[in-house]
Amino acid sequence: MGLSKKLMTKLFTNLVRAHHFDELFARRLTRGELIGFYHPAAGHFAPGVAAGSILNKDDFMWPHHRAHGVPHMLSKGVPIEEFLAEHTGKETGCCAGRTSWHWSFPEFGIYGMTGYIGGNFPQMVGYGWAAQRNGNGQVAMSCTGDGSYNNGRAHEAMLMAANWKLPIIFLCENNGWAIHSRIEDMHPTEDIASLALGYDMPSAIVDGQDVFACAEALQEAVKRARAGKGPTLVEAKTVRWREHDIGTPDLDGYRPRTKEELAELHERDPIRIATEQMLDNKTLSQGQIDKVHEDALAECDAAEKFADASAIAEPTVEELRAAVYAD
Amino acid sequence: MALIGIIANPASGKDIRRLVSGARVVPHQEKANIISRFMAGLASTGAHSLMLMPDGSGLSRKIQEADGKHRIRQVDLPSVLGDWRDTFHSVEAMVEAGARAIVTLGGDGTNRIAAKACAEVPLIPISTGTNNVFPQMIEGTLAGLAAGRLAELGDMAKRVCLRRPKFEIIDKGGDVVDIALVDIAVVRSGVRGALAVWNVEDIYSALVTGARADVIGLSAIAGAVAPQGQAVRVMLGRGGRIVRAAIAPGIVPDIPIEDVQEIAVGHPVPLGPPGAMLALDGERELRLDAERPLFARLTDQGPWVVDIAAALSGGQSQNTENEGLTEEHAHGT
Repeated sequence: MGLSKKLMTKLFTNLVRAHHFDELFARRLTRGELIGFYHPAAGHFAPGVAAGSILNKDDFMWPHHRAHGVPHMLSKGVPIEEFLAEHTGKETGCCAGRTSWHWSFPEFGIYGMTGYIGGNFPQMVGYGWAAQRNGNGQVAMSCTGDGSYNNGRAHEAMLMAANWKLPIIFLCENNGWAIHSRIEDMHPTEDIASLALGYDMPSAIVDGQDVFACAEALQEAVKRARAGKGPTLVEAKTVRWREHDIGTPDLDGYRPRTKEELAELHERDPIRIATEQMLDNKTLSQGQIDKVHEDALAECDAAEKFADASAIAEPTVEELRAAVYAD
Repeated sequence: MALIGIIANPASGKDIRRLVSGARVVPHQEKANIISRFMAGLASTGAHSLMLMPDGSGLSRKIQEADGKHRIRQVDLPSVLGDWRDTFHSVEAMVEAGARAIVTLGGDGTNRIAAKACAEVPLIPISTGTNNVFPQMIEGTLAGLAAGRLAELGDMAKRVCLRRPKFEIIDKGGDVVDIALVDIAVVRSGVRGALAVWNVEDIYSALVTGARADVIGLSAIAGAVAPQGQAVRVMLGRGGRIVRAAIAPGIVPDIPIEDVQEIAVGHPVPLGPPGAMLALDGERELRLDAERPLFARLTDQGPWVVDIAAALSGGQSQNTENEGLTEEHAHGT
């Protein structure tokens, strides 16, 4: 129980960084300065920050598609400027500028992203199995939304993970929406954590707007996994303030989400919740908090400069082939 | 037609203690079933109207779906916030609407919020939480029958109710900052975090409204060192005698006890040290600040709770406030 002041500061700093980088990515897409598409985090980034911040570098992680995994990855230590460069099609990108979506950072235990929701689950079982076979206490963190648990793959993965006691943490970042569909129209129960009962897997529900609450719960789940006690399902109840992805209308079915509903969602601002706690327990002063924001904005500027100054990737056919097929 | 309020906390029985101990999970399905059985018991005693707390996680919808006869109306909250405010404002609305009783599904934490707003309206607390000193492990059907009996008694309802104690958390000026129905833990913690308290090493001291050897939680620590039912402050620390108590489901640690002090009604007990966090009825809530010292004041004027056995047996509860109460008094004749 409880978090050290050092970890609290790390969580808070990563939360602020995630927020500013999310705004940067969203801004660049609308200006035509980002390749592909972008699913803004806007309100939904505390679970990912908590997950990334408590893992070791060699732990496996599948980042959520929201903010394209930025909260998860920057918290895990990934050089996010390389991700921005990748997302702008530059040679200095993590995959040499060849993808805006199917990125990877193998040295950080991040091996890719799929184009379909729930596609992560079979891979998670593979990561978990690898972690178990490696026998060095590695764990595998699966970060997806409530919509992904509509998939048969999710259930097959949880079944196999439970049967084999794989060190997997299934983190369900439940923002209540699968694109334009409300969770109550997609699931007979809005608590995804309830599914764990059927797989004899422990589960807990946590406030997904409170990065410290998320971290406490995930720490316990990671502890279980490292101790060989098998998988855990942690459900973080979070919110989505913006549209599913920029350019797609923000609909509830076929009607726009109402201003009233969005105003309610803004009541639960993860930055405000964390800031109040940092001040309340005197971990940081207001001046230090302001500095965290300044540093994060400076980091965003530096990342932009790095990406913008890098050369556009123009791979030859041979180079593309070499990137797809192993020798 | 008597009005009965229903508070079903969608979050109870699902917190981090499912991971750190073997605490049970109480899913929506079971909570909705409990309410269905409650309504069946209540309906067998006559026609009543029901008022339900809305929530954003589907539990209230599930309960309404189970009620094919559409007897339940939801409290009209300006917005459903998904936190303690839903409970608080719903209970306020139920009291305002003239509810005869309010059934609560949750643990100690849920009832603490309900008790802040229920005034003189008795609670029927059904346990669906983790630490359940305040609520009872009672079958929903029986709770429904008891609610019906309570409604029949009308102005005599207090005959089958008990008044529980509570702590008021007060500042130096005596203003009430918060309350606790069962216990206050003074803990080392930087944040509210996942709210629950499960690590005895993080606890400086525990204050309980009644020592209990037969429950889970801080009351059990007191139950190991003080007479049953006594309100005490237990100071934990090295060098003291060691007792064992179940502080959470599946967690029975060795607990070093430094000191035990009885707490008298109305006597403010200073809370410290500054910087520590107060966990009220099991949930980390308030930070102690040197600039604003806080005290715990025990009062016997806590919420009314329906005595299920007395209600169902047609008897009268052992309640000092009932002494001398007769039919004539109750009906004002």
